[in-house]
Amino acid sequence: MSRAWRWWVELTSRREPGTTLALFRVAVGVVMVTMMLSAIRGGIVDLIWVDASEGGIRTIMPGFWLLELIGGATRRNLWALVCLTLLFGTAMTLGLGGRWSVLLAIWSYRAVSSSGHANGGYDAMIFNGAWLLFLGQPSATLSLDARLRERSWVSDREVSAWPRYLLVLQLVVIYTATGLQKSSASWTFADDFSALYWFLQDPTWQRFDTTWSAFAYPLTQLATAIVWHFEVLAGLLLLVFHLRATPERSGWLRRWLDRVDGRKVFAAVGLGMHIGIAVLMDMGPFSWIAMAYYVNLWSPEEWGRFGSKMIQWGRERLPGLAVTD
Amino acid sequence: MTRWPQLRAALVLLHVVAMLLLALPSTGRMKDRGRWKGQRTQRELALWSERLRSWGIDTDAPRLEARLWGMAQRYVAFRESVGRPLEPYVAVAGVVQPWGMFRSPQRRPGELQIEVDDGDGYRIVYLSRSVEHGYLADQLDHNRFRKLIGRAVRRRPLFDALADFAIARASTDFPQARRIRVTMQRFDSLPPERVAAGETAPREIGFRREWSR
Repeated sequence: MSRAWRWWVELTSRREPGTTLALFRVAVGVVMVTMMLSAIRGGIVDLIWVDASEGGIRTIMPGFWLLELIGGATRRNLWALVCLTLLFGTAMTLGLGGRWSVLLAIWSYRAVSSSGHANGGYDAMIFNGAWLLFLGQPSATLSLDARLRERSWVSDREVSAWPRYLLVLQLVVIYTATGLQKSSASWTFADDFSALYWFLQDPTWQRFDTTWSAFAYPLTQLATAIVWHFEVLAGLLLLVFHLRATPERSGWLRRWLDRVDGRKVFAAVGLGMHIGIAVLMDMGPFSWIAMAYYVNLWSPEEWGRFGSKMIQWGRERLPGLAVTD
Repeated sequence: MTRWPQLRAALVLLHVVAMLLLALPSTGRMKDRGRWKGQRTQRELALWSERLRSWGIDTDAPRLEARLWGMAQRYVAFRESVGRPLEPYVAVAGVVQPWGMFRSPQRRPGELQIEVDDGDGYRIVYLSRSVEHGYLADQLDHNRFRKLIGRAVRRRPLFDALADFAIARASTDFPQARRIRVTMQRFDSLPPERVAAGETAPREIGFRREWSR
């Protein structure tokens, strides 16, 4: 057995508390349920997901096996799938039903949104994130399952660590792939980093009047340059993890990254970018689901320490509240 | 049981390989000659060929297009052959990797306008992103509907379907209406200096559909 394979088997055999995966589960579940509620509230379910023969805008060719299996995008099928997405999405958020509620949430949501003309990258981010939750043990802690099993919302039960590693890799793949596919000259110096300015002029994305962007053009150029370089160089995050995982070795880069924690730099730029997008543009849940992936940059132990600090902070400032561990 | 870690490692590796291969750019648009001839792609080819010439490379937009077309078709053949074995996994899991997001800004975007004529001439009841004309805004301004409208800017059948819906709804909601028309207006986004000078881009009719009672 080669050294590389032994390393891979060891890496995929690691176990850790389920806190990070549970936080990601809650975040994905909330996004999924909120998005479905937003579609219902906006009155668009019948219009974009139901076939034209039953009142929808377009003829829907089932793009997912489940929709095909149940007889296509009829009104009754679609509403049943919307209700199932809400039901299993809520169960997933609460951590009830383990991985099976996650799988059923993915399948029902995938069947609902298989219409290609109204899909976005955020749908794929939800599918992929939820699929890795299904492959892991998403409700080991911070869940109704833990409450029912151990009479406590939190549990020390360990889960496989590889789903979290794959979620980090997925985030890197998303950024790298989207960065490399930004083929327009306007994303680069070849057209003066003007892409963001032009996107802000397109009514498809505008949240509000964007005349201001003409006066803030240099800022939009700076933001374009930051976004493009951040995405193309996102793979460096894997180097950050590698250097952190091998502290016994020497080197100036390792020492420097020990001091600054490259994950925080990555998160500061990435979260800043997504918050900027959420404020300036209407892209549905794109920023929220992207930010949910960032949860996985930190280990369960780090989230545990952060939680303890927050509880301590709450106790100091709100002594009247009975906060328990 | 001792074989499980090995098997698990192999399955995780398969997922990683699938993730990386599926994240390679998809091929649908690359094969579409019509898209290559579209305004947006032609503008990019002109921009890149101009930049390459400024670096001393002897090319122009048609030659650059021919070279890129050849490379793209070789890539399409490769991408389709590596993607085919992964199709069953994608079908069951629902995992896809379509990360070609915000590749190129639409510098000639569109906006949807719905007008109703009660007998005194047309008046606007809906206009994309207008605060004043917000009829059907709950639906038409929803982010999923915006995508649909954004795609209908270039696709006549999609626009027609959208217009049919708008006309059907408006003819019920405005029973006094004699005529209704739905227009996809196109305009050239203006550079910052012209916007700052207070200029507004003139609108042109992209697609239009009219109805009369």
